[in-house]
Amino acid sequence: MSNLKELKNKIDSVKSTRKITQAMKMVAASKLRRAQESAESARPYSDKISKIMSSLALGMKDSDVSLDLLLGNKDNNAHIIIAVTSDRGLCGGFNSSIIRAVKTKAKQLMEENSEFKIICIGKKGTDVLKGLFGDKIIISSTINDKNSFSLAEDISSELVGKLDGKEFGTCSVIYNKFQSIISQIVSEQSLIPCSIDMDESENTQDNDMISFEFEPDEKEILSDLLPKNLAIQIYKAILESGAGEQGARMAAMDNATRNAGEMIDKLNLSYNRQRQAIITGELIEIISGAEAL
Amino acid sequence: MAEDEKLNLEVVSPEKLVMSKSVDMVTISGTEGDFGILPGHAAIISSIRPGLLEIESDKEIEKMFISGGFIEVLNDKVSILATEVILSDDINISECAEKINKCNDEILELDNELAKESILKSIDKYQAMIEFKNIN
Repeated sequence: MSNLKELKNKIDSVKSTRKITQAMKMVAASKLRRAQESAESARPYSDKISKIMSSLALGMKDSDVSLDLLLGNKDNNAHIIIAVTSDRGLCGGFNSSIIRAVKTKAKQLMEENSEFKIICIGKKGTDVLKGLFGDKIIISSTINDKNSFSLAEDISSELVGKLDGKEFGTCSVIYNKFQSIISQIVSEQSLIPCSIDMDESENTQDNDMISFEFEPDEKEILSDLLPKNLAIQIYKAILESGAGEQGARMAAMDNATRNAGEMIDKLNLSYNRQRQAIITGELIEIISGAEAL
Repeated sequence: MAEDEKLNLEVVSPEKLVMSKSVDMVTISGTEGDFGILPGHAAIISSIRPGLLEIESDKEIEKMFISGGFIEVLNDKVSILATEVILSDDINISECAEKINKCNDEILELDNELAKESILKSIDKYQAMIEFKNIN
């Protein structure tokens, strides 16, 4: 049985842990608001760009221009997985669920006898995936909050270069989609070939009737637009994941705080019980001493 | 064209929605030359070169610098997808000149065509910024 002092120390240490988790929860909550805002404010641009993309792609249907960036390179079965994780831990199952999804995807690709490569965004995922896939990782990068757009641009230009060099055929991104504070959904989105939103069907009806003028021609705009779209989609994934990370951390820290509270209650109970036992023992000693006189 | 007809303008950059309002006229620098858009303009999609965006609403003209992107006009709705939107006050000529010099230095050390192209693009951008600042 541990003595009183030990118990007291334990209670103190759990109390300070609770303080830390509580503070982390609060920090995550305020960061979440900012992350959500930036995810929200990036939405108009990505909505617009996908709208222009779909009107362009529709117009391209009858023309014989086909671009690798739009449709992927069918002759090459190599696939690039972009895994978006967080730089910091202590956010529950946030990163491990991404890693699990990457593993499943990799297994599926191996069964299909396809080559695959991995691009890691975020330190936590990089650490684990390096151990698992080592040489398959071609780029690994940490998320720098302020520069996430230039990071997305760098990755997309790298991808465009590799696609031109026929190093891979298709590419997808796996990230945590921010659903609500308590739920992040692991989603996979295809970047190459480009996934064009089908919700645009209402607009496409208009577009069928209106033929756009293009300046310069469609092909040139598209070859300019596609890399941008790629960067935007990666940027969006990073932002969504950033908001999700804070949400996950908030939930994890909330749980930890609650658990610490429970533990303190339990420890307090056994502390008091032991204290009482010692007092009773001392009383008995005094009484029996008095009787002996 | 009726007097009360207006254009619905939306300027968005990757970070945020910069502007959303109804205006009378928009002038922008397209890759194939500058052009103005009035209500009733034909549907068009064009790319933008670094340059000036002029917005006229109620006889007031607003100017900003756009470092590239796309414009879509459809049914009097103008959407500008800008890579970067910079206000005139935020441009510092000496800073731009410095950056051009730096780019020029960098380009000498590179032999990669792709990287060269992107540096040339940013030189274009800074030059256009200086030009823009000088005019206004």
